[in-house]
Amino acid sequence: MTQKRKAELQRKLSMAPVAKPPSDLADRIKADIPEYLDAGRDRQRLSRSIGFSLRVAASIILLVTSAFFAVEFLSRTDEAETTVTEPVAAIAESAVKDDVQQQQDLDTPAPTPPPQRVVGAGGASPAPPAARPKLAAAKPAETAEAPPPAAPLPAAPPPPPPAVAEMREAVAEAIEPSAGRRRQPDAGAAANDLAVARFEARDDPQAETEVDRLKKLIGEGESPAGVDVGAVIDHFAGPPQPDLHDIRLQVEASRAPLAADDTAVIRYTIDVPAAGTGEQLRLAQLSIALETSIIHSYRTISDVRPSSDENKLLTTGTSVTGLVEVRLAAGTRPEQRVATILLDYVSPASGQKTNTTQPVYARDLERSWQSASRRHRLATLSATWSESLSGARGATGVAEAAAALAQEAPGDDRAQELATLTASYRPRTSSPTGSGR
Amino acid sequence: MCPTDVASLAQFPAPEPQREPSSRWADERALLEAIRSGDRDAAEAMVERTYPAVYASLFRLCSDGDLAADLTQETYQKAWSALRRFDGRSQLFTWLYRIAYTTFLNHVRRPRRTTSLDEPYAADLAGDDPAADQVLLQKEDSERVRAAVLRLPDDLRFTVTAHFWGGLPVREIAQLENITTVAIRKRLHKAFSILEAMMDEDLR
Repeated sequence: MTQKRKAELQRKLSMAPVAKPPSDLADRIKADIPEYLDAGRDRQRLSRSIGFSLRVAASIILLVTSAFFAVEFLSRTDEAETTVTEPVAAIAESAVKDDVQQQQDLDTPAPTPPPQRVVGAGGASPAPPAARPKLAAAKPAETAEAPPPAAPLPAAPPPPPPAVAEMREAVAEAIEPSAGRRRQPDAGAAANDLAVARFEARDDPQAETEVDRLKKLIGEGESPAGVDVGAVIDHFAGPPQPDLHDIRLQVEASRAPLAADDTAVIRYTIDVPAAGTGEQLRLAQLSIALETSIIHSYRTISDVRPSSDENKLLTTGTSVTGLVEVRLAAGTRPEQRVATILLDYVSPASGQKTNTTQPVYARDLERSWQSASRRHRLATLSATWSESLSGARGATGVAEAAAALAQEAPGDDRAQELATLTASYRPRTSSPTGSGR
Repeated sequence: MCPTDVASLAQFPAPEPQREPSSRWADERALLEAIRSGDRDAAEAMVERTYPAVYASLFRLCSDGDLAADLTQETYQKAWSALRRFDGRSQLFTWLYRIAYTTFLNHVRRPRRTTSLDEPYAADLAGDDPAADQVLLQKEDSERVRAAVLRLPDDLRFTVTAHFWGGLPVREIAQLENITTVAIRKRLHKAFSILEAMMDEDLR
């Protein structure tokens, strides 16, 4: 392409005809200028949008907060129904305090408290023995007579929030309505993998009689037979404190006395205050829910006797105690709940039907027997001894342990009594027995 | 059609008072800021300043006054929508031209509403004016050029129309196309060669 052709072409391109724009074109274009060019309005729209979003967010937060408080309120209401929900260790601690107060002999070494006055709710029978192999009972170890340590009971670490309502529902579902007779615990009927045993508080007017009978038999050199273990336990657990004003559920757990293995025992005691309101009897019903998923085996030590409607009534000024021997499954964590004990009763103080719940955790079962309260030790040791009378369990070391207890609490009549009894009659030693699933 | 306007020639882009480039840029930026802040007067000022050149560019592309007006209006409608995305790196008119060009291409490619590129306004050019023949010849020559330009490949067509009909300097086109000015000049050179061949072909 020559420069001339190029210049001519450029001229033609540059000189292309053009028209003036229509006169109304500017107005047409201006009319199309959108309103939203106004950033102020844009900002208004934006702030309106943000305001709406904030309102929505605030509503959601309000809703969630309301739901949270509602749930919180409901759960608190539920907890309020259970007048007491304390860790076992705390109960044991208070029990020790009570024991110390009761103790009249000030020479007693402080560490271990005197026997507890505990009226045990009658231990309901556990699952059929055939289905549950027996626990290794208190082993006849002579080495078990170590003096109780002076260390105070360890404060229980904060337990996980107990699902009291769920537990109660499970118990309520699993327990048949009481028709006045004592029922065997029906592990199969337990909901949520709970084995539920039903215990009805046992008014035990024969408690003294049974121990007296044993004393008489032993004094006569005869071999006691047909021992009422529950009555013996109630006797040595002792009566409630005189200054008690309302029904009290006391739960404590430790290793089993004289046990060389990991067998543990849970004690539950119902203390009924002495008459003061004019009423002699209080309605009481005790239920125990066991977490079978973490329990290797368990056995109720206190015997189960036939009952009637009257068994739901507790005599004022008495205590009833029940014992359950437990072996946990391997790998159980200390914070896992082993059992939940529920007590429904009519409060003599308020006249209202109320209830109390106490959980038992695996860590409670790891506590040494020597560090337990004296009431707990007297109840469990007397249980071991009375069971040995029938030959069901060995009794090696029982007399020595009882002697140590008596020496520890010279002013405790029941400790002295148990030491005397166990020393005067030593059943023949036999191998420990056990129960389990 | 706008036969009476055909003879009018306009400078492209629309003549502006001579100013320092920096002050013009500063002026444009201020105008844009004012528009973005919602100043309607600034938007109208921008329209006043740019729409004749946009219209002229489109008229040269389509050779139809009414269509050019419609496309100009459409160009500004698109511009308002795209104003927030305009980064201001190029001149305002360069940005508007790109929109106008795309608007024109979209119009041409529309299936039903096409502009005849062959006989734009021949019927309107009849008359007894002695100069009419001269004008007619000039028109026909311009139309041949226009038809040839519109047959150029896309990149060459845009470069030629932007430079000669839109009045954009090579530097602006290079910035718009994101290539060097040398490449733009090569495009122009290549376009001239093709146009020459096309127009020679037409003469035969």
